[in-house]
Amino acid sequence: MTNNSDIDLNAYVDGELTPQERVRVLEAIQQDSALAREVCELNNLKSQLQLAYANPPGIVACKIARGSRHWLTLAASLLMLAVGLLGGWLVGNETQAQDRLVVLDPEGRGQAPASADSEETRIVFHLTTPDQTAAGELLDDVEQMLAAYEADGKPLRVEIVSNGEGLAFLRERLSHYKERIRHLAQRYRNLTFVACKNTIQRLEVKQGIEVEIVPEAEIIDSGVSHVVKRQKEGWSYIRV
Amino acid sequence: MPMSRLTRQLPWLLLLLPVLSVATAIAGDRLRVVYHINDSDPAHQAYALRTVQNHIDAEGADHLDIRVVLHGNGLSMLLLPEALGHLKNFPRANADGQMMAWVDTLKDQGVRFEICGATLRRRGVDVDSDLYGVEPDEIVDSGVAELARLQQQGYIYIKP
Repeated sequence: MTNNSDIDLNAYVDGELTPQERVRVLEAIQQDSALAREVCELNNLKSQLQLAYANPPGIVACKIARGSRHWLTLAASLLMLAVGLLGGWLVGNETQAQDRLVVLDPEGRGQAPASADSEETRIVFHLTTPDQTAAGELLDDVEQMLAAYEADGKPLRVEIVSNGEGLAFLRERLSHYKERIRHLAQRYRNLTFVACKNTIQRLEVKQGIEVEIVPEAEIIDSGVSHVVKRQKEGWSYIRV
Repeated sequence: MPMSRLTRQLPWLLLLLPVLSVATAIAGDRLRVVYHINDSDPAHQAYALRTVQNHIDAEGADHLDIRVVLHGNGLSMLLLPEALGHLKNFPRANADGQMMAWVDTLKDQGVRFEICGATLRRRGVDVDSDLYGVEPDEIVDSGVAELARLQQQGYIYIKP
């Protein structure tokens, strides 16, 4: 049995494997239904990027094994019905009961302290395009917003998460915007740059190079998981 | 065996209820959706507008509150080809007869287009002479800020 690590599966779901690696993962999935379920769940996680629901109710079951356990499906859907109704009720009452506090960089680099202030606007930008002109325009937009919110005394928190082809924006040797990134990170403590470790490792393995990330950026395990987490925490999501 | 088929399908039908419940709680009776367009490829823009139309066909215009936010290169959707001569910052101008027709058809069905004012200022676009059919109330201060604001109001974000 092939040993597929989480990193392989993440890479598979992100569509970043070579054809040979894909075949290897596909073969493993066919033989191992637990693995198949895991891939399916990762895919679900990815699909949730499209949803701004607090409780994405439509994405529930990964149908892998064919069995005649109708009662189980029925019970699960009734449970989901209850969860969904509750979710609807919560949103309707604007209670937003979910914990909006977020775990931030313990060293506090480039980040303001977390606050429970629900007035705070939180936006996560998901940068996946290799087009650095678009990234430059994003910096214009973000800088304008940061300045405007600061001038109005309104709290704002922004994260720019780069993964896949978007990682070039945060790479020491490839980024066109190192100076601006440094300047903005120093100027605005409520702005955080985030690089995806999966992408970094994949590039290092595939190309045999050392990938250097600009020092202002935080590195997290998976960019995709991170933006999903942020959306669950109630952040606005914008893909660039 | 229609009975066993029903038991098999009923759970999935039930799953739709929570979706509807969340949707109605957020939007009253209309599902709120914001589409985000910021690239200049005419084929991709056409695809995005077709997606919006398919969405309307599936749900019915009366059940939807759809916004289309254009910023950056996305403005090329409404950029008239003759404006390319003096607007060097745009790679393309896609407002041909076909694109105009699609935009008008969607507007007629209640879709609201929102144009990024920051992009207009940054790239020196004259709304009246360079763009097709943009009214003053369709211009927002910042497209990005608008995307965040709409999501806070419960709009579901889709980037086609």
